[in-house]
Amino acid sequence: MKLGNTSLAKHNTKGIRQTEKRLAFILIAPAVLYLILVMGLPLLWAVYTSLTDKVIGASEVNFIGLANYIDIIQDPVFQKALLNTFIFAFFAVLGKVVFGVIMSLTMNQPLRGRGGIRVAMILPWTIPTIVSVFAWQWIYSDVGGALNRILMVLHITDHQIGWLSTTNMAMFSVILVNVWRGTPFIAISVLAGLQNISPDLYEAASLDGANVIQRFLYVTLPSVKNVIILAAFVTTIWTLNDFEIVWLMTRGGPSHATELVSTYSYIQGFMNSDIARSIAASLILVPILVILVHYVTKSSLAEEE
Amino acid sequence: MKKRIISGILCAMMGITAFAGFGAAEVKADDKEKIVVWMKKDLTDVANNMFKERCEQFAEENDVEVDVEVIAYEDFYTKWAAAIESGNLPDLSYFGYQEMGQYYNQGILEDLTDVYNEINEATPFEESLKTAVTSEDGVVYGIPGWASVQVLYYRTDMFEEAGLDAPETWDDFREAAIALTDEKNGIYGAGIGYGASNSDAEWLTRAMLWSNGSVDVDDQGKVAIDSEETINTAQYIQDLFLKDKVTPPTAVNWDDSGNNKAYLSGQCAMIFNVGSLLNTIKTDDPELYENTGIAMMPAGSNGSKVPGILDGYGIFTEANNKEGAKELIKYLLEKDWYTEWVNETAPFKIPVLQGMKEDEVWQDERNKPFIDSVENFTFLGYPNTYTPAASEVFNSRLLSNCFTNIVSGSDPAEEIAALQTQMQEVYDKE
Repeated sequence: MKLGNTSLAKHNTKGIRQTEKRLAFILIAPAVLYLILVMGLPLLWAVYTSLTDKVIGASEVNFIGLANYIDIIQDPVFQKALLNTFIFAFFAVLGKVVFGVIMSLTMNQPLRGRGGIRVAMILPWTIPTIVSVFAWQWIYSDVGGALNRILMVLHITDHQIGWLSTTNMAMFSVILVNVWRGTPFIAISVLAGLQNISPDLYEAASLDGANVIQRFLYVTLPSVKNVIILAAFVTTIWTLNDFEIVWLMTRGGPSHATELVSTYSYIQGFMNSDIARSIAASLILVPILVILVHYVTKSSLAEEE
Repeated sequence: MKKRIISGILCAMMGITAFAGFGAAEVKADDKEKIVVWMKKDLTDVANNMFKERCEQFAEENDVEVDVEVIAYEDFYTKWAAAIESGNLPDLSYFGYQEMGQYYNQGILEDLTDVYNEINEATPFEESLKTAVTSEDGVVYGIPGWASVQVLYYRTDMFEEAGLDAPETWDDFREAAIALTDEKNGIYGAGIGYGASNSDAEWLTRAMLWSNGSVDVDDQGKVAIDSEETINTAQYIQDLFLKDKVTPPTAVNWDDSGNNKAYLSGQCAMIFNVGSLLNTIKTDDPELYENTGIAMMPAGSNGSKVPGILDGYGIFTEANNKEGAKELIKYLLEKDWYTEWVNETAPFKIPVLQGMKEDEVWQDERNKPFIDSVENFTFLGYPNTYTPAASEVFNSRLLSNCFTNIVSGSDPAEEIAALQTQMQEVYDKE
């Protein structure tokens, strides 16, 4: 009875699939519950709090709607912080990508002591932020600081440059530190992509008469393009949220020249005790971050498929 | 089937570990009463160690457990915020009086009037300090622990070489700064700095403003910072930075350690700082100590006005062990130990108890200006009595942010007008 057997087989297959689906839900349930408790509920609480007049320690909390958001958007300091955040993120990511690709190409070369070179190049990423900041504060310092001393010895400048104290230089200085710290991540990501490129492609290109630059443009770059883009998006998410470097080096100064949304939010929450306003400031960046995360997730899943 | 059993066990393990944190701690029958103390970290270890030992002694004598956490001042804001919102509060905390007022206004600090009165009866406090820890309706919400004050540190060797005397007025200060500045060799006369969240700048700027006739509020309680006196003082400060160039170029964005580093490295001939720096110089650089002179804050057209920095202890209303904390406060202010603790760290901690000014340690030529400055103490909200709104203005660093813009080149009159508006917004909330 072929037809009956087929029908039974289909029914069994469907049953097995449903059982497996149920099992899958049971297995992921603790993780999902954990995520809801640790991320979901706090996020909902944060959104609600941003719509109130909550200050730290206050027992009476009133719902005020979008007043915090309107207030923040009209605040010239926040406007500056938002603009600074995009400038900071744009140039920092650009720097990290460019130097990261260069670093990865270097790390991929069959050099003597390649292992040691790789370790040295990755070190900035592994050092705790506070240690990096102390080192760079010394480098930038106008009292015995290395950078000014080197520039003056080389006759590039004849006076101390206020790396962190002039409005023009301060943003450049903190971007530089962020690039120094974040470049190794891009380098490692791209290096992984480079190592998947078959040497035959380079050989074929050489035989066709391609020079170094042409081999980079037509063999290397297309092969690692997706990795670079993905790594750039991930680092953009991190850079938009960066707080430590700016807070420890300049506190958002001088005169808000390096104020970011993160430092603005911190000051509102912890210095002014206005937790509702602080959360509102942070949440303004969320839509942008959601778009970035969505792209990253979509790309990762597309790769797996 | 095997797969199901293994999956089930794994699920159960994940669930148990995920919820493990919600389990309540088992209370043992022989658990001692505990007092959690948050104390401000002193620059010198002597003070920190003496404080911890005193708490240990209290613990021993009273058969309790005292858990002391010594915290850098800058970290207190985040710790207080997290503790208040989470409910995981210390029993006894250090507060600057500027924070006491703000938190008392939010209704989260305990009424300590009884504790104050009890201590005051045994060993009277300096009368002038009570106003800084008392609300408008007479409630004492903080117990004075110690005072500190900014004084002028100056390089006696440089002054001698230039034939100058210690400045007594702000005009003298400016003249000396100009005479001592040697930009080519990286020496600057005036180690005055600003920067985002610079608390030193908050105190110093107030000293300069108040001594030149500027006031925070008028006698009606309205903000009156926007005045000719304020703008003139702001112009004076801007000129120091941009016209006279007697300040290091990076002073525009110093943090609280900026002036310390500038003086210790020999970059600046004069700075303003509290007594902890002198203790550090004495220990770490005896040569610099010998070449350091101390003078009181210069005077302006309105005399010498010294912002009093009063630190002490407070108790949150929701703290677990308020009674234990109150007993500990009384223990920390017992005259014998207190005298030893304060005098050991002189001149950083200025005594809040009467009858200690005449102690030998305060007659030292470098310590005397600190204790003499107490007579000219003024508090936030000058010339009116101190209010929580004045606290909030300080804690928000409105003044140092305003003056950072001024010394960066912004028009003083415009910046002061903006400051007036910002301060009035804070006062209107009260």
